[in-house]
Amino acid sequence: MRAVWRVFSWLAVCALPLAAQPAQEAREIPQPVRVEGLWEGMILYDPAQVELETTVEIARDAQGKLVGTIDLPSQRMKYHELRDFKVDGRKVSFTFYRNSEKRGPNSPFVFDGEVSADGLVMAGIFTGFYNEEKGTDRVPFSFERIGEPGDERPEPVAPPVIPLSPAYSELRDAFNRDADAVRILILISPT
Amino acid sequence: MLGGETEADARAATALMPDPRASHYWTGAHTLAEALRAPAGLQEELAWDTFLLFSRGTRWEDAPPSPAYVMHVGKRLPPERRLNGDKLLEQVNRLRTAR
Repeated sequence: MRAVWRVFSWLAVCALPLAAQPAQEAREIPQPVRVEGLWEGMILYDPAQVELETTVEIARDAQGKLVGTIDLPSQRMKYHELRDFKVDGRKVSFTFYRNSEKRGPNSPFVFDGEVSADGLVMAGIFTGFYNEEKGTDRVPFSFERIGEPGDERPEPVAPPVIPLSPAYSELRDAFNRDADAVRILILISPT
Repeated sequence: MLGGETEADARAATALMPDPRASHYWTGAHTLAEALRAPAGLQEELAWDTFLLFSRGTRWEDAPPSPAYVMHVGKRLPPERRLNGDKLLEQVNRLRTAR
């Protein structure tokens, strides 16, 4: 799907000079950007350290009003409602509400961003997750358009898990089997 | 591995790292984290939340080997070794190109 969007974008760029020639004096009239789509990306809570995978789906309901959902697997959120959509030219904002330990019940978590000229990227500032070290709750986010609202979402691939024996010989054997490679061993909690 | 976690949690979490080069293991015990405490440079803490990078040729004999580079989250280790994906990638590439 992404490849198809890039081809459309390339065609649009190539076609633009030809279409623009007869109307050199025409002024650009800002149009509200099209935000409907399936978007995937990251909230960069602490770049390169804590980056939260995010999926956002935005559509229009029968009345033409923008509606949407957000998935934040790290927060165990799936199809959580998005509200308060505002679109102004290429600027866009929307909010989800959720209980916050710091700010109380039903607190707003707000995305304020801008959609790129080719409509493929939405990026801006997310406000809501307080980062004590940095003393701010404003962090960057960046999403890429991966499809249209209602499109089938990529199925998560879940590789198998090998239970370790008390002497963890399964891990040691695999480690030594790959001795001719650089290896990384990560010990983490799964939740 | 924290108190109430299960193998099912580990199975669900593997989706966060689907790279086919990665193998995923589960243990409900602290034995491995204890064995890796000293190689990771820790004094008392268990080696949970550590990221251990090993050079080519390193083998695991009776005891786990010492890593060439360590990163961590929330351990009593140098703060500049706190997990940072960019820095970790630099170290991976350094080791991959080392002769």
